[in-house]
Amino acid sequence: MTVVRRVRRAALPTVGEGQRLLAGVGRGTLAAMTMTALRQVTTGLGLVDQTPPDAILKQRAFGVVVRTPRLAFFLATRQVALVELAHWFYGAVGGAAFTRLPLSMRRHKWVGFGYGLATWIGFELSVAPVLGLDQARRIRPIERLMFAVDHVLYGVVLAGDRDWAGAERRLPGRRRRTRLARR
Amino acid sequence: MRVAEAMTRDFLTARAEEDLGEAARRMVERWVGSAIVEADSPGSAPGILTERDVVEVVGAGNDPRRTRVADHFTPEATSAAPDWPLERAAEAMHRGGVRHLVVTHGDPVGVVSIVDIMRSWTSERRRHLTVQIREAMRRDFLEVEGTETVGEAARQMVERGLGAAVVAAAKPKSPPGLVTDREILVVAAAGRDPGTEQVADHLSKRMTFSAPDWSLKQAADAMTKGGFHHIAVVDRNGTAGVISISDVVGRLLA
Repeated sequence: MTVVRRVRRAALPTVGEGQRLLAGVGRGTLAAMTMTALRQVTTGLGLVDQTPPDAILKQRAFGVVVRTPRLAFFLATRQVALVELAHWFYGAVGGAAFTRLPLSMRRHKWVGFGYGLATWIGFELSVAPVLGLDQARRIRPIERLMFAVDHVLYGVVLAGDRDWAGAERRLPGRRRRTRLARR
Repeated sequence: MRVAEAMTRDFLTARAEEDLGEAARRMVERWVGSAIVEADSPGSAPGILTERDVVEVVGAGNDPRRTRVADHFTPEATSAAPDWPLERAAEAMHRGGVRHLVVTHGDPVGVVSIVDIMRSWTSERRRHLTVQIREAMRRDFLEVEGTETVGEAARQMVERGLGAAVVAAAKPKSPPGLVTDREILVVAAAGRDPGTEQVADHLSKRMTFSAPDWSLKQAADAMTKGGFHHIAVVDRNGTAGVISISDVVGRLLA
């Protein structure tokens, strides 16, 4: 009996690992872009002073590039675009990491909310203190709330309807045919 | 921290009767920005010759090799005691608009520069620099063309009381350069003619760039680590300003 089940499962066409990873990268980038749009609003309203990627560039990058004036010049004159690109890159990495979660978790109703919140908590508790960002010390409660909100948005957009992250591809018309057959 | 802990004990001395070109050569050789000139009479305070004095001579169109130290050094230089706290020394520099103090204990025992102070102030102290560079930088900076002569750049720097000038980039979107007191000192020390040497050939190698909204603390750390005295502040539209080590110390004292 067990053998039969295994055979049946194997017979179902599945989304390949590489394909899923690629989808994760794509959706992660898209989710980060959505987050950027929300941040345009929150920074425009003065609710957020400095976003985490901004903080990394402005507070830490200088120390790294200080001995390479050409690189420092490049960063200083193109920082707006570079900050966004860096943010999208983090988003893409987050999207790829999302695909490594167990299937049951990826299909959970609240996975987007939870994943978004987890990425923010992860940043707050590990990355920011390790980088020694002021962000970790002087953040206002409203900013903290806004960061939590935009990360949740990231998670929700990333998870989407969750079908894309499934291990099994839904066969078009299969369910319908089964239902019809039952009738 | 006390001045005695930050000062340079192995200071350079210059004789009043020697020529300025020779004094400049020794300053460059030791990579220092000042030399103590012994007092004329026992009991009086020693004098100081700084790279700024050399820039003034170059800016006035005079040949440093035909000029005596005696005619251009500062007699009875601003001095400090070895047991002064660094803050007091920094305040004395800020008030007097100088970057070097002669440390005396009866006789001269050392020189403390603004760079020594910045280096000695711990990172903890610099943590108070929470503002952005734009709040401390100088916006009315001097910009010169690369084809201008070193002598002309020196003249304008002296006239405006600046320690550096931005050298316009040869091509659009390329990084600009900086020429500082130090480069002019090097030209004078090498015995080259500042009236014919072009600024573009003497750009500062010890410099970097920052954006106006980067942290001032980072600028301070960069100056300490990289040995820079000036940072060119740039944005998408080009050069936005220049921040010097004196601006950072001034902000720390505020």
